[in-house]
Amino acid sequence: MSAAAIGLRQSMATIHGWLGLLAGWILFTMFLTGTASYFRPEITQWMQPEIRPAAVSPSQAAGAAVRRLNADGPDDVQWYIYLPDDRTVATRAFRLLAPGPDGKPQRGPGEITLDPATGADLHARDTRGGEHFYRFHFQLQLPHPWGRWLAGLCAMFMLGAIISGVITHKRIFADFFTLRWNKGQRSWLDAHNVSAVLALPYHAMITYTGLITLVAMYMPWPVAANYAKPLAFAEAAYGLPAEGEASGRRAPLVDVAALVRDAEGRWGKPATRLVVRHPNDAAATVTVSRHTRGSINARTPSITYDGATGRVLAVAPDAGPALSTAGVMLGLHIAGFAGPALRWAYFALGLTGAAMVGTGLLLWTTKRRRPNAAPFFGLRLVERLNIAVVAAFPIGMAAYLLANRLIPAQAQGRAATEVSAMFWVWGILSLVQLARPARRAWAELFALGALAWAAIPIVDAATTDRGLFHALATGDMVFAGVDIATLVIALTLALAAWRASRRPPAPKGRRTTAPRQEQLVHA
Amino acid sequence: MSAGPVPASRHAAARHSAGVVWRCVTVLFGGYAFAAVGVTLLARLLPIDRAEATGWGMVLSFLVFVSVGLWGLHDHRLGRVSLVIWGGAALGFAALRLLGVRP
Repeated sequence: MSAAAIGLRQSMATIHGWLGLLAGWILFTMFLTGTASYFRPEITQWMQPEIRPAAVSPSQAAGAAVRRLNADGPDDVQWYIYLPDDRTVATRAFRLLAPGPDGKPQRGPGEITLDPATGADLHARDTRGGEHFYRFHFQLQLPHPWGRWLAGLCAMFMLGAIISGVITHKRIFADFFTLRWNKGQRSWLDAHNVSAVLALPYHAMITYTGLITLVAMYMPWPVAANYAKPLAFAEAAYGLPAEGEASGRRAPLVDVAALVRDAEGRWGKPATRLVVRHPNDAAATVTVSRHTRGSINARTPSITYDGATGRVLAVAPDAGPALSTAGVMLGLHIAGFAGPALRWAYFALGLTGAAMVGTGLLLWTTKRRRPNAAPFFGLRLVERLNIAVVAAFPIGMAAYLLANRLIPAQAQGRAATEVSAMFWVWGILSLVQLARPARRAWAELFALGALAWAAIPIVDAATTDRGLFHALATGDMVFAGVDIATLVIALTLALAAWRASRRPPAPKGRRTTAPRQEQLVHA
Repeated sequence: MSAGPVPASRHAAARHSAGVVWRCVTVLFGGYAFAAVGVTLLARLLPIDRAEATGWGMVLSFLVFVSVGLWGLHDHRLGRVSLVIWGGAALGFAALRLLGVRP
């Protein structure tokens, strides 16, 4: 081993520690909410128990949605329609309104949720559903665009931490098989290494592809160097039809359901999205996009039809290698292609990511704690932040789900109240723990988390007719799945509470002095 | 992050801190600028379809950023790190200005 290599390893260890520490708390919340987002549609279903899914084909849903939008806004500029599939039970639509008489742009009604079969408004409790976790995962509930920049910065730190962690590591293979319990710092290091090494390909993939999801915002410069108008790149890269102007001549919109059926016939795959431009104008266009099922690439092909005649105007060409790579990266991150088994595997891997970040944060404190010495300020600060994030944030997530069942279904502004419940619970617990000794705070918050997550299926059964036993009896896998997952999470937290409440083992054998400590950590 | 020997005097400690702050600024902002102009030059000059060239620039950008960032944190010669990162970013930027948007 050359001195240079030792120097590199040492410096990478320092870099790894700082990158991980500074971004760790936000990364932990991003991992948990991102992992939950693998089941975004299912969580939304669970949070609207009034809706019973009805099997409606995409073309039927498209026809119903267009009839409804045509009644509401025949002169709109554009409609975006997201069609239901086997995981989503509602059609989502957005309207882009024509400018008002004064020529000023008018604000549309925002997202409209429609019954796929009839196109009528869906009558269900108002909620952000799984969308809240998904948005928090990359926007951190901060004003646009700052949340996205902060999330990107943390992802960048994560990428640096992964690479420096691998370089500083001597025994990657041996660490697959090394987990020593009850050895204090040594155990935390083992746990950190096992969770990191075991799922290393996943961590590296999910971090890089996560950055790619917002690459157009983080790295717009290549587009600026090659295109005078950024929109031209989107047209070339994603096969978006050039946005034409309305002709001003009226012409009724063709039967959109028939266009969807035609597109599905060409692909042999279902449709997922419709964009209708200038409905009821002679220059109307209808763009149908293919579902991502069966394709890792999240950028699926589309076909654009003339909205007045039904003629095919454009078939988006297959993307070249670079754009296919970007599309596959996006797909790998979002995992829309994954069936149930792979989706649960993704979910488990996401949790190993949270475990890796969490154990890394804990390691930072255990490494610096000296027996019989008062902890310095930085150590106390990091420890309290660790408790606030690792132990209290999951309780906030549980509060969001509990609020969904406890706030009356008809209450005004309830969707925002559910979101507030998560942040208030998280914030208050983060402050309350300061009044308790750290060791007690860990155990008590884990115990509270176990109670909160265990309460979810109980409250679900008490407030809806779709509780766990009923769901299992009727084969309602979405409701059964969410309830069982909450119980498993509760068990995990109960185990953590029990471990945290025990006395730490007495240090055995030779005391390590500070310089040896450094070597122990990166052995 | 070359946390060298513990500085002896208060003056040396202040210099050390300033160095650390400057290094962080260089890596974070300079590193981003370096990566941005690097992949933008690549996108602008690759003799392939412009959408494809743009795509490669975007896909590779974070790899360039993280590589130059880790090197900038590791190399203890802060002068060299500053020169390469800021100088490289400035040179690349000038080249892009000369080239202009792809015709």
